[in-house]
Amino acid sequence: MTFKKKISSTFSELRDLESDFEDFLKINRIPSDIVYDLRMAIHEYILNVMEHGYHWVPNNELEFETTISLKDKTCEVSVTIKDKAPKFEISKEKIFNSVNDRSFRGRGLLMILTFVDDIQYDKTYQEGNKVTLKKVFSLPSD
Amino acid sequence: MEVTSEIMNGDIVKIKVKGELSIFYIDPFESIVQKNIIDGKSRFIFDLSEVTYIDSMGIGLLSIVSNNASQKGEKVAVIVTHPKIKYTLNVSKLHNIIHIVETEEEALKLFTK
Repeated sequence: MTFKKKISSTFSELRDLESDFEDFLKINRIPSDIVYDLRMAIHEYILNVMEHGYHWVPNNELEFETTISLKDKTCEVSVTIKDKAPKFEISKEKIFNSVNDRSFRGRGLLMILTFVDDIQYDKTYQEGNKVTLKKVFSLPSD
Repeated sequence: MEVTSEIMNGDIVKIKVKGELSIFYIDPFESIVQKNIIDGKSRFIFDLSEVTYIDSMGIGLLSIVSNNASQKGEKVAVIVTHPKIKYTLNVSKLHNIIHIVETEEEALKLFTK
């Protein structure tokens, strides 16, 4: 099952994307706690692109694709997000070391790393940034 | 998102939020917080028991209030019951600077010496 959408870098389009994304996951019977985690991760990741990549300038492009794959009772949700912003990479070490208790900013990146199991950058992607966030979990037995 | 505020026990500001506390709906929450800080208030209870989602922007604002309170030797309490909201506050390290409680009674106890 796949869900694809292109949006521009505005809050209203991001809000609509998150709503459609949640609907897609729920229709495919993804548990609500996993839906929460995935929404949190993509929300914080895209906000990071909008702030640091596009400097809050609206109407820049973002491409979003989600795939749900199932093997036995293990489910993997993979979300790929492409933008046309200058290249950046979220480093685990840097984030975990830089966010102290009283930081105002930086928590969003920490949240992305916490709410998904894997984050991979496609370094060969030339047009901007291409990142894939993955969440793997066991489906509850019926 | 719905935000209401009231003064309790003379100088404690209780702010209750219902719905999503995210960048999409943060303005009314931010306005109430700012107004109270400008008015010199530093003792806060945030009732997030009916919040369904909180993002880094909401958490960032709570950290600003906590920093303000800490500079004045005061505390900030946050009422949370939703397990995911509690987890989100913990992973974002906010639990180290605010008091996370489950009831208003527990929150008020923090302000009595």
